Amino acid sequence: MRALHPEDSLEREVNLTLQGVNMSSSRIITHDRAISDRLTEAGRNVELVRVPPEAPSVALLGLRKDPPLQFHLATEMARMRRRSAQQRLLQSTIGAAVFLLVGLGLTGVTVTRRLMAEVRLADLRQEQFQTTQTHSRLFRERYAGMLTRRTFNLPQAWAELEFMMPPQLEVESVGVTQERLTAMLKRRHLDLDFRDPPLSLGELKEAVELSASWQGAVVKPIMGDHELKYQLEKMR
Amino acid sequence: MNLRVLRLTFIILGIVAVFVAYDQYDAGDRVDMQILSELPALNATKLEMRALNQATPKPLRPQNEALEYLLARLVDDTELLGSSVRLERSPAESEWNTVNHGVTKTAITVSSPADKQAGLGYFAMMWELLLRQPVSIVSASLKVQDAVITLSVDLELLALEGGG
Repeated sequence: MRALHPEDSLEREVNLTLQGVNMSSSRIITHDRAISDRLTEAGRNVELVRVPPEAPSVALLGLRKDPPLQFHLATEMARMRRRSAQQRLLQSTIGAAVFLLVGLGLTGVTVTRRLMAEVRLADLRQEQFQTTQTHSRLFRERYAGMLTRRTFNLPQAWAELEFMMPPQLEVESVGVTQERLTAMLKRRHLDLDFRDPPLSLGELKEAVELSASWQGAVVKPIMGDHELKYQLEKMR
Repeated sequence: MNLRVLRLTFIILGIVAVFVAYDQYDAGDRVDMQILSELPALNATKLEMRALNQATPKPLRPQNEALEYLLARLVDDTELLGSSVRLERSPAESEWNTVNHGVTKTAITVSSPADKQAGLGYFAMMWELLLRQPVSIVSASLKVQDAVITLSVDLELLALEGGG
């Protein structure tokens, strides 16, 4: 039997009391209307009885069935909190261990990657060293030969023009630079008093195409002071 | 309590491991960058070696002999050329520039006039002589003026670095 007060947490007190005395199937009986009202509002089936006015507030007992809520004593609550804290600690420790494992894994991968890269770099440098040795020797021996191989044969280009051009024209100059090959052709002057046969640009272009060194050269007629010249220009 | 210490140890070790991993990743990246920067030079060298292997060997002489030797070959190796080859600058004025791997070069200009009839064969031979020497022809021109044909060749003579 517990004395209740209308201002207390009635629901909790009632249930704790019932659990404490193992009377979960008892009925709730009180003579206090305020208590009865509050418990009724809380969903309890309360029987209101009449007692002498000087009697203390009495509640009890008797729930017809176990309440849906579980109530715990302070010691139980403390034990549960401790257990929960221990579980959280264990979980966070496992999390920290996973974090450490991931960190170690990453370290392993990155260290392996760096070591492999260093091995590749060392191999590359070794190869570079060996190649440079051979290269410098070859360079001193053959660089001049390599440059000469790319050199154009100017007298041959002149000879080709002399042979392939129409007879009305003669070669005035031939030049070669790193970028282009040029030639200047002019009308051949003859001492005899007769007119030169006419020469078309088409004929000249055909003759240029027949010359191996000058194939693809651009032909440009150039008007001088008193004579017409032709310039051939070809990119190398 | 033990678990707390263990957790703290794991966290600290984990942070250290992540830091080390980042450091190693960064170091690996730097090595990769070095490889990427050095690889093109190696490939270029290999490519040039391939071209050099296909070229004819031409022995180079020291600077102080190279110019003299070239002129001697041009004048002496054929009677046709005789003394008509003229060097535009004296050897003393030549300035040698480094090419690579102990090879230097100097620019020289050689000209040789002759009459037109003989000129073509004359210069064809001279050209052949030039191509046998360790020279690079920068530019050249053949001109006919007043029945005189002139060959001007601007060439670079290659030699071994240094006097000896």
